[in-house]
Amino acid sequence: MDIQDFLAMEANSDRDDLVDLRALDFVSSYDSHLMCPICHCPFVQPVRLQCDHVFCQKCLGSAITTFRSADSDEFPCPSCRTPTTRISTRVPRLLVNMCDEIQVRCPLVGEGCNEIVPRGHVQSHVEKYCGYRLLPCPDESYCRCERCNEDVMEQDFAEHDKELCPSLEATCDDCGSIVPRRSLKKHVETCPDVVSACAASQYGCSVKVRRADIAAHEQQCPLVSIGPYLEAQNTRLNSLELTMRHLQQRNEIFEDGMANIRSTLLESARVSDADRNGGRSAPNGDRDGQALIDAEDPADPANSFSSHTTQYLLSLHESLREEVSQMSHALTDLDARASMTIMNECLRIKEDMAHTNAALNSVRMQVQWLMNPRLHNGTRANGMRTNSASNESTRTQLTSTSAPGPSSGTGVSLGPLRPRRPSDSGREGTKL
Amino acid sequence: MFANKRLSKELLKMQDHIPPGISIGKSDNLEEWQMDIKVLDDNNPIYKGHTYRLKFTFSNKYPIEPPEVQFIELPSTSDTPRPIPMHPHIYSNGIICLDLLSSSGWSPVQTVESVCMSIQSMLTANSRNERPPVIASSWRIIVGAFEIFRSFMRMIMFDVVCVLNGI
Repeated sequence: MDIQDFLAMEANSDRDDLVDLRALDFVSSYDSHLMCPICHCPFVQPVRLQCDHVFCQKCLGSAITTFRSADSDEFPCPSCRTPTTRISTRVPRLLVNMCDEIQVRCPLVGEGCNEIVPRGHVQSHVEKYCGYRLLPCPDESYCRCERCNEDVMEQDFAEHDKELCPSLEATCDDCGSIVPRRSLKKHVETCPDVVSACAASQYGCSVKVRRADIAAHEQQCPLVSIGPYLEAQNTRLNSLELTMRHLQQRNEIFEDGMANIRSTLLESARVSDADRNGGRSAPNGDRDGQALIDAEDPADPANSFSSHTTQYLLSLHESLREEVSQMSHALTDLDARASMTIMNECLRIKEDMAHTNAALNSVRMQVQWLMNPRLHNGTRANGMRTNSASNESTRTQLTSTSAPGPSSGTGVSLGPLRPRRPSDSGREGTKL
Repeated sequence: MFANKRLSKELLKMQDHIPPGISIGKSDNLEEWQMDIKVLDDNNPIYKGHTYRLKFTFSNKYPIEPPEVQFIELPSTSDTPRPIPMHPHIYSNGIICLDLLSSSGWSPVQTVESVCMSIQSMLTANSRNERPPVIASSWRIIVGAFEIFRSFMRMIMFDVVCVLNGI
């Protein structure tokens, strides 16, 4: 067979196989010599070239179409590049048998088939024996449905045929029309003959009419018109109920707390009671004996308890009041003391202030007195020398006169020669 | 689909057994693989101690059509530095000039493994530390373009002179 014939055969043998032999899951490992060098799978329909290289028929076909130089009669062997013109479909039987013997998993393993068969048998297994093969629904002949293209497993087919196929016809109970099963639900929602209740049925309107007439009824029905109002009321009621429940819960919690407090109070009262009883029992035991206490104790448990409690509380109150009065006394005492000290301090500070004021005044006077001759000097530039002499004399005069009182001694001791500085005399005057 | 089946078979086989000096760099999808190759000849100073990375890009007609194969460079600062090997038939951008990888030289019998081995032997056989003469040829093109531009300008100048002289 030459290349043209081979390509023609390859094109004709474009079968629609159920099983792609190259996609199979090979369970056992196979010899690499049984592997087509193009697809790396065991040979599928092997063919042989002149150079004795073997390939799958399909692989060789695609290789030839790609690698043959335009319209020439030969093409290079993919393995050894030997120019080839003739292709033989006769390969040793041994090779085909070895390839068909390799164990593979059924390709429908995803559907649940766990069979392992030789590769040569997998085609017939899937065609005839495998229960997991998908079958098209033969709807045309059985249930007259038009568009059911669903794939159904063979084992589920009987059920599908009778009950599940969505193309089966169904009758609407109300209007009597016949619709396909898959659109029955939609039909019931819109069917004009279905009897349905008024929109205000939840508020008490008991009218039930056909869907076609319900619009007319709803225009007249008074309950429909107040429907929104009722709706709003409903939501309000609901929210109120919710708040009420919440409050109830809180109330319960508070009650629990109260009960707890009461029980602890009772406990403590009982303890104090027991203490008092114990205290009393010591002298009583001396005088009257144990019998009297035993007789007295069960006689007034509640009565004595309440009286004891009030007494105890009253005494507590009394002692607290005493403490408070003591505290207030102490407070007034403290107040008086504090105000006294404050007054004293104020007086001292006032005296100090007076002293400071006096000193400040004297300093101001001195400064004024000093400034005046300077101004005179500035105006009269020629009489400098005489003025300076007079300044000297005036300065001595000033120190003796301007610092009266306590600072006079120091002021005099400075003497006429010492120059005056602004920081000197003020401080000396305020020293006490 | 055909390509995917064949590539997954090849990958399984390479994970089972791989020739020395070749290793799988990255094969997380069935469209692009990266393979690392080493030159095993220790006497060759050009490739000694280096590992090179090949990038295979498969079309969906593989193995009927050849894959695109080229060297890629990983920076020397990374964990796996991969330079581009020096070879008279390998360009500095990693493109390989190899008959086997062209559509005329390709054969569907070739595998990723056999391509790697071919490139490995191509490097091993080389002793010239040079790149293809790409720079010289491009320089020639530039010079030629400049010559054309100059003659064109001369023509324009001639026209202008003629117009000015009133001819």
